[in-house]
Amino acid sequence: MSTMHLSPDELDALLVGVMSATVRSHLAECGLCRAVASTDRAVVIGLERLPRFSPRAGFSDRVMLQVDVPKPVVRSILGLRFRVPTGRRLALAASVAVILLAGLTTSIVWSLGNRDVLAGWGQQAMALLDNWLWLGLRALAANVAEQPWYEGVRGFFASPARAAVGVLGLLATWSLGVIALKRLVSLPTRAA
Amino acid sequence: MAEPKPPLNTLTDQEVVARSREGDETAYRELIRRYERPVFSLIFRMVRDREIAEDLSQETFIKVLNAIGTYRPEFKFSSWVFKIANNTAIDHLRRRELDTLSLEGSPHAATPEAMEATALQLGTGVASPLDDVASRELGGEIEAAINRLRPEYRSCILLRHVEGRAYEEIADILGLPLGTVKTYIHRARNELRVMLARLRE
Repeated sequence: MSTMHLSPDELDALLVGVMSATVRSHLAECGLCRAVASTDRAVVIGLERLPRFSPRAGFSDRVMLQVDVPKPVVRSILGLRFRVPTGRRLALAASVAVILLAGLTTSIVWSLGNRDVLAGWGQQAMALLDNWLWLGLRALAANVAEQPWYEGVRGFFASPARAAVGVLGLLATWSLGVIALKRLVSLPTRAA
Repeated sequence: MAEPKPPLNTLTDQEVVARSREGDETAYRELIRRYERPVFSLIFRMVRDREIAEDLSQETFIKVLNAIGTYRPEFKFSSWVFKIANNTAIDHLRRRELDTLSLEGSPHAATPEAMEATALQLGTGVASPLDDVASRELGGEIEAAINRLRPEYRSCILLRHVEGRAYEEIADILGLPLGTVKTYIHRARNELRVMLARLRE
């Protein structure tokens, strides 16, 4: 028989039903450890069965009398709930709002005092945009004209009758497409 | 349209705390409802006086709820509550040097009625096995033995085996190293074993 008795951790493991082969064989031989394990179990069962006590009725009312409940920070406007910031968040939100407002005001004041400069910048920007637009259109036209199918399409639309049929066909395809899309995006109706 | 709020009793502690931070008074009351019995039981077993336990439990909840804004959700709410409850009870015991008391009632009770009012009422609110005489006797013996433990052992053993808290959580609640908590619990169980054996003799 081993002279080493069960350690506190081994006794703990026994309480939750974990028993290694070594512990099992030790318990089979050591009456002292068997008695300790058995009394330990009785003590723990006794502790676990101890009742819970309740304070007198009205306990929560007495507590709440001395608790500072913050005012609700959620507001409802037109059915939408908004969280009203408080404390640090309020300070942060106010700082952002002040910065935005100051930036906007400065921008307006500066614009009013420098209309000529602003107009010059506007004209330059428009000219640049105009230039880019034309360049883009010319590049697109050149690209289309170089396509192998271009001559065939051009030949088809050379006759006014064929051109009319082609345009009508395109219009019909577009209309069908619009109708199909409307059906797809419309809300389902409730069954009666 | 705003979605209806789920009932408080279906929410986790963390979610109820979040609601209380929004200024919802019913959330505060839900937190009290969840913890009033465990907190009161722990403090009552620590101080052994119903009136004092009521005051200390009230003090605990007032501290907890007024500081709800400082609670960090990454920690267990129950650990935070028990930590404050235990500190409140230990502070009281240190002030009063009240560590061993009678099962029959508070030593501060001046009249027999007060003694009766402050006595532990064994078997109240317990499952049927405790209604059994043997269980009542064992419960009484254990209560008497717990009274004789050192306060730090008492906190550990109550949190472990009455409240069912894990060793790690107890270490967190009491601010003690894990090894110390294990040692205290083993020593407390040893002392309880010896005391119960003596009581039965």
